Amino acid sequence: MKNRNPFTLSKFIKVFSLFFLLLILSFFLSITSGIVQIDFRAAIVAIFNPDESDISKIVFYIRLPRFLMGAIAGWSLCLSGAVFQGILRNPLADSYVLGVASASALGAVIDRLISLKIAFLGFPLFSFLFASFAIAFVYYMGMVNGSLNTGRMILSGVILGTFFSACITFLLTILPKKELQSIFFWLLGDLSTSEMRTVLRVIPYVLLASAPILIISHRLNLLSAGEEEASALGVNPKSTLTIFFLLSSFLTASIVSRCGVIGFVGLIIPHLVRTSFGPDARLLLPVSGIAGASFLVLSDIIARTILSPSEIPIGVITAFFGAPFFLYLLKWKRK
Amino acid sequence: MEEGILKIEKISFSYKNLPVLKDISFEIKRGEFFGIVGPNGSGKTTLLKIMDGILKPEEGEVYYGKTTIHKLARKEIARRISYVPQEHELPFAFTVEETVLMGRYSHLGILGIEGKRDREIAKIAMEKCKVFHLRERIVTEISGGEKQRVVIARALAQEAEVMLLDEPTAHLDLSSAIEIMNLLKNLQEKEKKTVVIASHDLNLLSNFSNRIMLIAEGRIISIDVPSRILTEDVLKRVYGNMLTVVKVGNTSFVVPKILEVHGKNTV
Repeated sequence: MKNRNPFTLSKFIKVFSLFFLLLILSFFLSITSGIVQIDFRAAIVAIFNPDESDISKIVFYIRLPRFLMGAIAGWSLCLSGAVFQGILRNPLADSYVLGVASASALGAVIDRLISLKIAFLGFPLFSFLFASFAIAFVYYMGMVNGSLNTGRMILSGVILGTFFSACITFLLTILPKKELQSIFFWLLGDLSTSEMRTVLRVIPYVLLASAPILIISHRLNLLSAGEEEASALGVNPKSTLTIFFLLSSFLTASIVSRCGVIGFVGLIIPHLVRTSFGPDARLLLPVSGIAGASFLVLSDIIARTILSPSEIPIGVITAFFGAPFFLYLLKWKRK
Repeated sequence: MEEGILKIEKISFSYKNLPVLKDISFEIKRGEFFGIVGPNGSGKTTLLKIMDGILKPEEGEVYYGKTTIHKLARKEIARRISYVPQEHELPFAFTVEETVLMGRYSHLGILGIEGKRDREIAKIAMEKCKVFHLRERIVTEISGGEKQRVVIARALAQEAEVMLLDEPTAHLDLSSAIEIMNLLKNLQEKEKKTVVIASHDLNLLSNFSNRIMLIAEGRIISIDVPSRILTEDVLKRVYGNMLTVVKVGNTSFVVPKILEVHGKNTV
């Protein structure tokens, strides 16, 4: 994009509000469409003045939590995706490709099995630990003489992902049949079981992780020039990297442990935002988050309407979009 | 010019048990143009990184004035010393202006948002380095010489008194290299910057430096004014008996000795 001006607060507010409007639009689309078509006016009435009618119940107990979960998941996955790309200095970095999602999913399965979730007030402990391990691992594997090698990084991520998937399959085979189906569906990326209770539990975690990421986002710009240059410009690279690693893993884990693996969203959206508005993390991160929220909500509408009355897991939809997009970037967009 | 600004005291450093610097001590004076010359692998880059506190020496200390570098936070160092590395990794399509503005990071508040003054300083830095007309261009799409000037402009935007540069002319053709050196000389003379350059190009450095430090295999061979470094006796200790010095006008140059080939003098 030519004539791009550097970051200013007013530029940020303009772009962010634009995508916020899109989110509001997808909100209305989301609560009105589904197996039961609800017209716009009825939906509004149901939200602001809920009664005991079926429409009210559908809107309040099914569609609204589902919209919120989709938006929160989209926000978190795109925000953490953009952070991964920044710290790994690679526009191809994605939690799915890097094995972070599988690691997080394995952790979440373990969390479910030993029910730590309840003990820790919904804190996805193992999911978080495994995700942090995975991202630190690919960073370590990709580092050759102080610079990050794309090939090594992606390869080790894919191998790590395959390994963790095998671990998940192993755990699934020793599970009783009854739990198997719910976990299987959840793993594919599923928003259909979202409840208001779960949504309210995720929100504080997402806020807690997002706020510091956004506040220190400028450091991501400097880190993309490499650890030493960042250091020379005034950033402490080790501690900053650690903070970003932990917070973005935590965001990913919070979502994967609730919604399963929803791949490629964190790649597609930040990439499109970057090509349209530039790579400045101060704009890229929040705008990717808000755009990702709309994207996931819209994908979810497709997931539940295209084969209505049956549903496709949303992870399948995003993979259909994302995999070809990834290959396109790999072959034609890299220098 | 006599006052010391950076003092390097008894520095030793090794990579994986391989000694790179051995007991190095010297002092950079405020406002001087200081050249660090040595063959590839002599420890120049490591030394610069230690001087900027990016690497921590195993032994010894670096002082900025009277303060130990390692007691300063990264932001505090960045306001005093800027560093231009040899290779630039630029994975994302930042514009020239965005890149130069990154030099302001150490002066920004907690939210890291540049104000009017920061943009003005970046603008002046770009003008001085003659890259203002490129401000909207993507850094990955400009030439090597232009990119080098952008990174120097970024260092200038740091408003640090000392500038450390690692092989700033290594990948450049001769005319771009001389442009860069003239720019740096100008910054030293007009902006009162202390400029420290590491390079293997003895001829280029000796024409611009007040003093030159010759290092080989991690040890200081000599620190002196260029005319006393450019002598066969001194050079022999680093490069063997392969170089000689010729004078053109007032300027000395190092040239290879004409070798005996097949028992005959080739020229």
